[in-house]
Amino acid sequence: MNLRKPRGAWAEARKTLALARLLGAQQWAYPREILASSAFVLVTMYIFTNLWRTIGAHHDLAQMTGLKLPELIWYLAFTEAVYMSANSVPDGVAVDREVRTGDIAYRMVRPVGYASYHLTAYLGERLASFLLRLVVSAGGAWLLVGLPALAPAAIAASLVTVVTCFVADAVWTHAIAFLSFWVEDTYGLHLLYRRAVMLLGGVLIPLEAYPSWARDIAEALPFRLLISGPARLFVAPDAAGFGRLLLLQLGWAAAGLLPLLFIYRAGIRRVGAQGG
Amino acid sequence: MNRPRALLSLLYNYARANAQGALEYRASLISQAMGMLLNDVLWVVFWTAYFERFELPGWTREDVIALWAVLAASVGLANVLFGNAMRLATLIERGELDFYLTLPKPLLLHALISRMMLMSIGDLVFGPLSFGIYCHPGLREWLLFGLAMLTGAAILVSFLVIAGSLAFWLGRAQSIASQLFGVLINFSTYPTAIFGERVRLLLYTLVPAALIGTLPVELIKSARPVLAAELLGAAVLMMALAGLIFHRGLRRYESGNLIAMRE
Repeated sequence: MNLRKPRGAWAEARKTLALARLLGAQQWAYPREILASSAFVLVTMYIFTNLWRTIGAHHDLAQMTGLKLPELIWYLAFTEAVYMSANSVPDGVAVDREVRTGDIAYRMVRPVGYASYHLTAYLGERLASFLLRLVVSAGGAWLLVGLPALAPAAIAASLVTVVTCFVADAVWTHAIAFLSFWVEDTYGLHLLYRRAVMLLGGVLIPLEAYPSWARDIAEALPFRLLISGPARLFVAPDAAGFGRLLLLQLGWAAAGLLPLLFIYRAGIRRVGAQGG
Repeated sequence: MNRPRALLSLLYNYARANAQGALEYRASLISQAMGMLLNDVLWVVFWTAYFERFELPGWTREDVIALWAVLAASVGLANVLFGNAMRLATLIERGELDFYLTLPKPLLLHALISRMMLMSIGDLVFGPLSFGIYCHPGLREWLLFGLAMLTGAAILVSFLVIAGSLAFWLGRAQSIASQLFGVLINFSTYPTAIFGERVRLLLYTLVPAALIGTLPVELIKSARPVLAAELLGAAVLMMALAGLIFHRGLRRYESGNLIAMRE
């Protein structure tokens, strides 16, 4: 049986989904390791709770950020879970390593496309890692500021936008990762991309708290769609905002497909296999 | 054989060999170092935006940038010269200390300097650059910056040795060592003024974040000799403690029987 023979989009989608499920389940195989690594999230939350309390002693937080202290900490719990979930998914680095060591040759003979394998693996692992981290960060927020009034519909809406956020992020992360066909190591580029997501996406501080010039820059760039958008929905329900965010996220993901496919197709032509 | 001159020669030769190895992948090294540098620059942008709307009691934007400058320079120096400190737990776990045990050089120092994280040159460049641009230092401030960078690097490497040495007792400890280092760095990038007294006590002792962040900035601002002596004393104490714990742990070390002993 020729496993690589195209058998229609439905069969491909089922294969891809099965892969995502399998690789996501791998994350759950070592929950203690992920829980231990979440200590970093808790420390960040503790630091920022102190920082916001210090600021709150002199300023009206609700007026400056649109959120009160408990909501701010829950916003942070959500953004940290989204952002830090990327840390346990070293997929960009995996592409680098496979290109550098030649392991890409083994991966390419498997009955699933190289690019779609990595995109699927990224999505499955990222989603599982996010859910585990959200449990930890939500527990931390609860301990630090108690439980605010969260609407179930808002939680559901934010979780849907997290999935589309991961799709868009996967596309752009891999557009960067496939540059390793030229530069061997894309660590520096990934680091810059992640820092841009962190600072211009509103991981540590809501974008509303930035001065107007920084807010204008962040509003004009798509990084806010990956972090601030879903997190805002989590603490402040907004039905109209949900639909708009979803569309923008999907648009950002679709826009990334062009560079992704161009870089991948140009790069894969440069691969040469020698020996065995 | 292990006189300071011989050890300096060992350090120089390792630095040269590692630099030659890294330069084989020149594009990769440059992109990584630039990534580190720009990452630090983004934090300056963040704090600039922060101080336009908020304040920190007793701290200005220049103070926080000085804190980042000293810390980045310390991390850069520690990583460039003692690159194996970050993966000491892995060396112990895999039995990779065997290689160093068979050689006549001081074991811990030799293990630490045999690998260099040259991409941290980005941090090493950012430190003095941002300090010079934003803090307008005179000669005295530059000297104090240099001292703070050296004591900071010594404390960081010592902390990593202590965290990595946990592998002698726990077996697998790379993850926990990395976490502890992350916690140290995370706490050290904020002034201790925002924390309560109990946490502050912790940051001057168990997780010595204040000694590589807040205290060096106070030293540069005040130029108090007592503070300089305290920082130097803390660095020497940390190094002695790290050496003691590592060699205590070494008694429990088991060989890896590796054929390929080094990566």
